[in-house]
Amino acid sequence: MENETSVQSKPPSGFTGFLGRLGGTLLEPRKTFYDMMQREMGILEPLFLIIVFFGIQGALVGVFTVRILYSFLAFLSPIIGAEQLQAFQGGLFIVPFITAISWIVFALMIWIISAGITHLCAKYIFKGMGSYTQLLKLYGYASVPSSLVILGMMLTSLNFSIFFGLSMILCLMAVFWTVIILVVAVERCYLIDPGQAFISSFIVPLIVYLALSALVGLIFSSLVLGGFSL
Amino acid sequence: MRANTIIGGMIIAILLASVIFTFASPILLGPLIKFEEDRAKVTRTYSFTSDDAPGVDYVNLNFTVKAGGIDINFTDDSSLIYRFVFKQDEGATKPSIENITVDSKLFVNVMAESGDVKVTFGNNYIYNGTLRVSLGGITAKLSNYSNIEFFDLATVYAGGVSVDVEDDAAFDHLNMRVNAGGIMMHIGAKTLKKNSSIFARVELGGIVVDSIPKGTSLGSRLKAFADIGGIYLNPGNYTVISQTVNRVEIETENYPTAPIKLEIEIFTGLGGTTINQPFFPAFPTSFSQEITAGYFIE
Repeated sequence: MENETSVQSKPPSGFTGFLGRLGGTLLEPRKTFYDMMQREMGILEPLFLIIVFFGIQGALVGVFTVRILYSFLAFLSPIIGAEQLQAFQGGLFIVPFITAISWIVFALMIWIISAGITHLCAKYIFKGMGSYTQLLKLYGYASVPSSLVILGMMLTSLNFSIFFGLSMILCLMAVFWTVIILVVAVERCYLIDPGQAFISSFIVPLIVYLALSALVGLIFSSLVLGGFSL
Repeated sequence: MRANTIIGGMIIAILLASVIFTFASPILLGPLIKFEEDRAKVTRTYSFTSDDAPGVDYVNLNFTVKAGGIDINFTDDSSLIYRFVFKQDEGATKPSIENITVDSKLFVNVMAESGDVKVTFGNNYIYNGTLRVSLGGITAKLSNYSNIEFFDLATVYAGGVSVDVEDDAAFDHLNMRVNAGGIMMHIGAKTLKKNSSIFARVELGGIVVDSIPKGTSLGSRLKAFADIGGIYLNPGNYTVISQTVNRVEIETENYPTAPIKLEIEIFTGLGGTTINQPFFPAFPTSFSQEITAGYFIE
């Protein structure tokens, strides 16, 4: 068993500590996760991060959708009438709230399921020694790189033609960074090597999600096209 | 730990900016796809020259645009007191402009609900006053034709202020305030006409000072403070007087002896400040076995 000895001073508490954990997740994930595990952090902070990061992303998608719909409102006026158009226009403001809530629900589901798949793989295939709750806490911090996605979405919304390329780069960076954080989280939590952590946190969940998508696709096509045969 | 806190502050700033953006963008930016009829703009030009106000040598401005932008420039036209070119959506309320002359002073009050305005001043008058936008941005280019006693450039709610100081600009004091957003300072000047000072304050967001002037006759000193967050400083050739996580004081080598001095003071409430270096930080640095090896003893 690995013998771990902390050589760090006491981490700061309060809001500065929270800022340090956010930045540390990006810059020093190993050290930050080690500190969190030593301090036995609660589940509320990662839960809060997921709600905030994905809630904002959902709201931005909703706003983007509303602004696209706005573009076509002028064409609807002769068809549905001015009063109905005004009512429809007012109703559009609910869209960002719906998308924000949908995004949060979806993110929470992915969070719980992904941590579950990873836990099963790391614990029972690679014989790791961590717990599901601990992994769930660390996985919550993997939402931090999505701040780059949020930045990209804002820039794209400001000027699509200028910032679309930059936004794509920011999104790719966020994906890459998230995978790194997930791998480090699994590695630290279960004390397995990085390769095993990568398989547990990325490859296996990816295969499961692809298989699920294929299954849903097949079921959908069978319903629409009237059956399939294996 | 310091870098972590700064990055954490930047993440919080992005999140808070995105919340403001979510509420403001449908109103401020309008439809994403603009068809020809959406683009209809009306341009209104208001000029005031020495013929309109003879004997005036001092101009006091009280300039407000609620949503939009202000772009400030100076020209070598000595008879020009001001020229405002408003670009507004068709149907938008006309700006109101009031000119009051008292002795040799001209008081100019401008109020516009929305739109972008290009403001041009001449080189024969002393300018003083406040220019503010509630939501939007202000850009100012202080060239050698500028002659400012005091300018207060303010973004009341959210947006940004960008200032470019060129060689031989003349100003006593420049004040910049942003509630949520950012301030960008490019001080390319190697010389200024007189002792000057700049104060920049952002409650939530960031301040970028891409360089600090280093001329033979111009000495500069910069003080920065960040309440929650941090300051990224590239000291370069500057003399570092003090530097902590959230407080920095630097000056140019010639500051004590320079005949003309520039004082810069910046404050960030929540967020980050970068001084003399690129804005974006580097990629993760600790995803390596070496660092972990030093951290865990087997």
